[in-house]
Amino acid sequence: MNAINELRRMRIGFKAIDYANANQGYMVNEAKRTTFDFALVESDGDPVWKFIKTNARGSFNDQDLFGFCSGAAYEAEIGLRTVNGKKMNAETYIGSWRQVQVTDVTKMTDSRLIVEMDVQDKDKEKLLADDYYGYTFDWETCSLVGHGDRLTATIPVINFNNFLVATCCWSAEPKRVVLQAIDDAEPTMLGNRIGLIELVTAPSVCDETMSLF
Amino acid sequence: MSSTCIYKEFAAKLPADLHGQNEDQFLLVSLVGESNCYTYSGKRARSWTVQAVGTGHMIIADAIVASRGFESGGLYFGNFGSSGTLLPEQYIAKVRRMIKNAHPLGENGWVNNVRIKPKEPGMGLVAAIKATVEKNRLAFDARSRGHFFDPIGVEGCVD
Repeated sequence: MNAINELRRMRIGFKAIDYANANQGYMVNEAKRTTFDFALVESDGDPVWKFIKTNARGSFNDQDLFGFCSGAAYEAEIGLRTVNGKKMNAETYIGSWRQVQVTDVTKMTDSRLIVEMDVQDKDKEKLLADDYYGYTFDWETCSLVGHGDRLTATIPVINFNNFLVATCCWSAEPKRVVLQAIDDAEPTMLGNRIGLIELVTAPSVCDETMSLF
Repeated sequence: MSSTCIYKEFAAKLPADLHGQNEDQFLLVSLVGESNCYTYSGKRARSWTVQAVGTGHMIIADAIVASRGFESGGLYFGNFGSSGTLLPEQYIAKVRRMIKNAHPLGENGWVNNVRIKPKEPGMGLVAAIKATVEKNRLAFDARSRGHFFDPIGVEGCVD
């Protein structure tokens, strides 16, 4: 395995999102506590943003940080993953994420958070609308592609409605999280020479004091 | 939804002649219970279990996975409720200290007032521990977790 070095980190939060039409108050609180954490990692090529973890509800992959012999924390523990070249053990690495300042999703101007999920055809109705949570699938911003008895929904998490669709709708397969550049503009937020769009598959992480960032 | 509490936990260091490996081998032994399981007397049920087996490195790898439970809120340490909450990194650090201060496994499997014993009738302790260590080493090499439960069990006071 190649060594992984984390250059930067980003935690995306939802505190400033508009919750005006919330059906369930507890989902507002939950959204305010939720973050999606990414690290800009360099391994054997150009740096790319990799998804590390989220505390969101609903079938997100928890192997990216805590995976057995594969998660980012384990990689840090064995010295495979460094943060700005610095080695750290698993607990320092996990703890260091708490010190990363949260960027509110409403302040993201040149990139956006995408959640992609596979749902079975029989669950389509639930995906398109849910009275309890009060969401409806927004065809303007989201897309739904069929693959036989399976549907792949792509949801940009840009408002509370889409947040609910992305988190409350159950999926048998772990949901995938992507950081996507808006248009072709080089996102200043993500720095120079960065290969952007990256499906989150393997764990990556780092640890260290956030003064590094 | 039920949650789990690790009431007590310690590491036991296995004597080299018992496991036959080059590196030090440990057992992570825990007294655990579920929030919704009660005894006839109305007390929450608890039981001793072997949480992880292997080298210090393997125990930490297991603790990293287990620590996720503290992040999600389904796992407590010491007691249920807010005083039993830990951060994942605090739990991993605790386990690291347990390994550092591991109790040596004594005669007949006694360690820290609990007894490690073979589960299978007729199987000796040494054979059971060797089988456990080997089984877990193979599983770890295959990146598979928790395949050591069959050969050994733990007996001890649960109060």
